Amino acid sequence: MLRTLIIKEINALLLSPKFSLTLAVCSMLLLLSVYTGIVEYKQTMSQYEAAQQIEALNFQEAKSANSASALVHRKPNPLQILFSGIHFDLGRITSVSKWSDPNLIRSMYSETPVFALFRMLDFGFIFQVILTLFALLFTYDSISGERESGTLRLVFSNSVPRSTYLAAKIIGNGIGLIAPLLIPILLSLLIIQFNSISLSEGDWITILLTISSGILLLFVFLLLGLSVSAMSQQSSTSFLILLSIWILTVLLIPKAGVLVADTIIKTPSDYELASMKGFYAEEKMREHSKELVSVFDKRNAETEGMTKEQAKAYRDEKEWEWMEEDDKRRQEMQNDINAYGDKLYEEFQNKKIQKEQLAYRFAKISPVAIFQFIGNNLAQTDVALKNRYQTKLNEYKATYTSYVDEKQKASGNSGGLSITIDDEEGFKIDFGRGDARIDFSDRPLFDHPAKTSSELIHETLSDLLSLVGFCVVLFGVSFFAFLNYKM
Amino acid sequence: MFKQLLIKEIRLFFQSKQFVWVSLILLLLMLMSFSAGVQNYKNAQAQYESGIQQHKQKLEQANYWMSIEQEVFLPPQTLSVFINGLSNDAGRKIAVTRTNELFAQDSRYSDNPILAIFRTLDLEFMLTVLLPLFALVFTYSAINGERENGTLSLLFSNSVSRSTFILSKVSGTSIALITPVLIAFLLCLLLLPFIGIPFQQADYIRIVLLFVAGIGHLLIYTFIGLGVSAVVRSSSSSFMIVLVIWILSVFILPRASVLIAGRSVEVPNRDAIIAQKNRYRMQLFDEDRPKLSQFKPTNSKDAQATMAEFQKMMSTMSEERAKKVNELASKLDEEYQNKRIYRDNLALSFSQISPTAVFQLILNKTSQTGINLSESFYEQAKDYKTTFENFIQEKTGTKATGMIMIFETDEERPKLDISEIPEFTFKMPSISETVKNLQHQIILLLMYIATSFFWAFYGFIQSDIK
Repeated sequence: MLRTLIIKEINALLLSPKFSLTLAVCSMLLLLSVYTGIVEYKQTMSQYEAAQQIEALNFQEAKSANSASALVHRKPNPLQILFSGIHFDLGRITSVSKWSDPNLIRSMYSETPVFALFRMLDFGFIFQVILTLFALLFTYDSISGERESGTLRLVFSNSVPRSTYLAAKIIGNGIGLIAPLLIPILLSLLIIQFNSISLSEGDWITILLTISSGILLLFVFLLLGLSVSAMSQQSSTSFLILLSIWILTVLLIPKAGVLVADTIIKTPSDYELASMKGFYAEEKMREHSKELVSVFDKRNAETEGMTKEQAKAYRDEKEWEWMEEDDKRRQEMQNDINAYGDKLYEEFQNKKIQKEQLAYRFAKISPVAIFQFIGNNLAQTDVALKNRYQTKLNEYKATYTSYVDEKQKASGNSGGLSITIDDEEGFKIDFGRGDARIDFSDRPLFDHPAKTSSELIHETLSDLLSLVGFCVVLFGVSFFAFLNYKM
Repeated sequence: MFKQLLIKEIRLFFQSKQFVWVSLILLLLMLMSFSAGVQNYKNAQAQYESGIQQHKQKLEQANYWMSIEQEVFLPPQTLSVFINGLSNDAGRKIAVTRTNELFAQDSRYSDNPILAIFRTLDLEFMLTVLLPLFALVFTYSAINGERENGTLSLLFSNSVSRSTFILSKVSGTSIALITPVLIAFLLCLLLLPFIGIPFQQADYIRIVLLFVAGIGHLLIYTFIGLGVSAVVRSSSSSFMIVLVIWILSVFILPRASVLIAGRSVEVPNRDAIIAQKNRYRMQLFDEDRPKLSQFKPTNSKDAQATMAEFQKMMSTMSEERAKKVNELASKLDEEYQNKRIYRDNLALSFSQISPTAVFQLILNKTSQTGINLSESFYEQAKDYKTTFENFIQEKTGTKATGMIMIFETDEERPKLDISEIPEFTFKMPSISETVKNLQHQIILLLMYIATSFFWAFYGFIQSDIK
């Protein structure tokens, strides 16, 4: 009986204009999104490769260790073709030197705002906005519509259990929606493969996982459509309810969740943080200056009553000890300022994490937001990408600066010009190493942050289970609603 | 007859529970997005103020005019309360450095990527995404629905002309659909004095312009819905068709056309241009080295005078080098800018096959939160750089164009009066300039309105009502 009903459902779908429309629109959109994704990826990849060459050339021509600063470019990830996430919003370049803290700047959207105007067209967007809507269109009238047309009574005039009928509806609609999608999805993957996009085995696993979570999302919306249809007597009512739910879950809740979290937990801006640190440092420096004045006064007082020669001898004797004392004080002040800065940064990071967690919790009321998080995590274009890069950049700064210091010692001078004015030799200018170049081929290279497939799967497991949870709950709702449905 | 039909149409809408509920939800959402816009503006304003404060703090620590690294900040646009546009994507700070490159950095989305994931909820989103759907949902069965339930035949059994019917349908539907939008607009206007944001008179004109364009955009989709309903016999088919139209014109066409057209033009790599300029700068310095080494002071006994003489020579040579670098830089930058402008124009022209893209451009240009925002900030920062360099030259006698030599002495340096530094003020284009910039889009929007109206009108006149 189930088989007959499933075949009936599929036949009805295949003959309906919905099916051909879904097939046509989905194929066009998925292929278009992959095409634009590949074009964008290739563009960012060629930009990245050009930047690597420029940096290598700069190092070849560098004449001093001190003046050489490494340029780190964020490496594009091939999975951004499917889920661009925050890839285009995040800065893509930073210089690493001992003189400043690395900070990724010049995001693609800030430099080429024309592409930011309408945003990207990727798999994630199509699944979240277009396919969820199609899933509801497939199902909004599957029960209430049959009641209106009288076919529901006709079916149940035979000895068909309600559970079998519902199962046939779910399976039939599922196949009707998923089958036309599989063709363009497979074609898209072939296009990626034939465009020489290098994908590792792990990448393929994450791609499959992304597509599976997308299919799971579509099932959530299919079951939602069936549930509402099984609770409504008229298809027009179920359509309006579903459209409202779609607007809420796809367009509003994810946005509102983040905005609410942003309003509840206030985090200071980077500027405010720097300003607070600056004020503290200024105050500490003032205290330090005052302390130094009183220390100098005390030291002067120690030489009171001595002759000029005795005082000089005393100062010469104490010079090293005093220098060490002064150095210790300065070091203590610097440590104090650094500790305050670290504390501020830690507090800021904690608050930021709290805010992000709250935003996730609010947004995850919507299965669409959950899918977005899964996709972004798997493509490694998620919100934490910035922190991952920042951590790696800070580590790299430490390695790179110690390498530069060693190079500088080995090369003999800082590379700057030095001027001496002497009574005997007069004015003399020295360019140090002159035109001699330094070999930087042994310089440490930046290790781009990357997660392994097992880490990615582990991190997305809870979100995947949430989607499964949505499916189970909605299946239950549709089942009980249909058991009590008045025909 | 027209009046009676019109009243009947309007009454039908306002007596429909579905319409009243959807309108109320829409009204609520518009007010919510307005409130989110206000919050977003206030956050941006706080960030702007703290940026200026932090920079001032840094300036106060400087002891030499030559060592000042000036930064300019982009203030939030007051109209971002309504239309956020690209204001969260645009870099909000430009360091006016001695080298030639100016980069806008610290965009809000880059600093706070959690906000970038789902973007913001603003009136632009409501006007461009939800309102067209609202119009299509309430029009897709306006005519074929009546045909299906027989009321159309009933109506035309009386002496009613087709044109009177379609005109009353179009007018009644438009009036009903515009009403909730108008109420939301008036409520927002009423709330404006209480949100603590300083709006100028010109801003009010811009706000009115935004909503007039919003109504025009709503009308396009109303006419499209009516046209489809007139041409297609079954309401279920017309529903699928209007949905595809909505998806295509709101989401797909603008994105796809910008991405495809934009990438069809090859724009030179900016990183490569910067590297080329830097290498040329280094090459010129290498060429100057022998001249510097051969420097012979006129009076070698006086160290101070020797250093002053050497610095003067350095400064002259540095200015010469800067001149040469600038010549190459302007050539490369011009080439880059021309290609970039061509690409942007091509991408935007293609996108305008969608009425929503045309409308979005009107919104962005009117509120000054579109791609012009980043361009304007960059251009104004570039102009300011000249003003700042002249100021430094006035203070120090030399242009801050290259290497700086600072001679530390034991004497205590007097504090710098940083209030003397010329202030950077970001200027918005005047309302007349905005309207001039909008000419093309306004004409296109009017053309879309006219075309969709005539399509609905003639679609019905020529359709079979039985």
